[in-house]
Amino acid sequence: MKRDNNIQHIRELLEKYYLAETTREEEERLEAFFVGSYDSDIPEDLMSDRTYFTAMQELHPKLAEDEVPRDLIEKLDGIIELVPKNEQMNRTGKRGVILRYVSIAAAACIAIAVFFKLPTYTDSLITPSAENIADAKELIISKPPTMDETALLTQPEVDSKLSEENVHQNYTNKELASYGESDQTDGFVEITDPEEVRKIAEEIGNLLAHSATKSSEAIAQLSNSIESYKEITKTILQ
Amino acid sequence: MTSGEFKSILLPCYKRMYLTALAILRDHDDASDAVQDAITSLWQNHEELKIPDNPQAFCNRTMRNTCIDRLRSSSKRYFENIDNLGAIADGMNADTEASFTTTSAFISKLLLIFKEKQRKILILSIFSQLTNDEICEITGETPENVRTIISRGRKKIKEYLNNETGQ
Repeated sequence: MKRDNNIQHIRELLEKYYLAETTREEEERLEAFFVGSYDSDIPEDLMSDRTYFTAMQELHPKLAEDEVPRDLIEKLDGIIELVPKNEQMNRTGKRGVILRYVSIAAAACIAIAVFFKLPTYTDSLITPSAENIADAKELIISKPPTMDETALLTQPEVDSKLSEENVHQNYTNKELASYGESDQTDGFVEITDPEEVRKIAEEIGNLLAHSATKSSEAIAQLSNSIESYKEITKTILQ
Repeated sequence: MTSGEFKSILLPCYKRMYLTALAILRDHDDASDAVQDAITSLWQNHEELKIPDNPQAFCNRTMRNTCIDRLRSSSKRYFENIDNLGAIADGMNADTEASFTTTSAFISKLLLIFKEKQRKILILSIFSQLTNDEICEITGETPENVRTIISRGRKKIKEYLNNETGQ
């Protein structure tokens, strides 16, 4: 009765087996049954399955521990001895990856910030600066006599001028007082000829204009490189 | 897991790991390399590992996964080895060949009746005794495809084997 139950179970497993639905354990049970039974214990209609499972079992290499190469454990010990180094490399590797992502994020932040801020900078630096310089030139050129006058005054003279109320209308008392206090004449070359002052002022204006062009060029270059960083960031983010 | 625990608990499992790898890869050198790969990866992560309830089963699982990765990334040598068995079958001398080789050679030659895709799946199933899921992972086929191919293959092989022995 027990044997019949067993055979019935084997038949069920076989059905599953040929549908490729058995687990590895069930397949082992089938192999064990067909290989480990006497011919007399196996029903006639299952003899073809016996041939099959015997062949299957023969396919697999003998898995005995003497198959394990003797030097394998030495190789494994070698790995364990070497790997503390390896492990550290691995860790810095991880840190490196994190750092890389952080720096990409930082670069992206800067690029975005600059992208939004840049128009304001260029507005104030490039476009109005040309006008500003013209204004500055005008200012400098139109004022030399007063500048000259005040710059050349010594403290007693200022005092005397103040007392005489002979002050140029453009200057308030406070301004004059501060000129006196800071002693502006020290270290300056005295320039008396208004024509020369005009020339120098013009030169200064030219210099200012030149450096403005230079810096606007630099800003253009900078915005170009920011543009390319933006592209790189975009590709990375994608 | 400390280094000491790794050496006393996981490392001693290497023999069974080797045999698992040999059963799957069917080549001593490949099996040896695969064990070294698996141990390296376990060792590199041993500080994060908890001590497994069944270290041997855990190591075998790791070993199987390592083998599956190897077969997935480069299985050329593996399939060549099996094909060589078929070549042996052509020049086979029944007196000198061990029965293991002759049956393997016979079946590997028999498998040539299948198209390449089916043949590869059957080799992984019959020779390396991989599960359907593992075969899906290696070949990228759907589970249903793999199941159908193995089902047909088993029936065909049984039929051929019995024709052969019946003659």
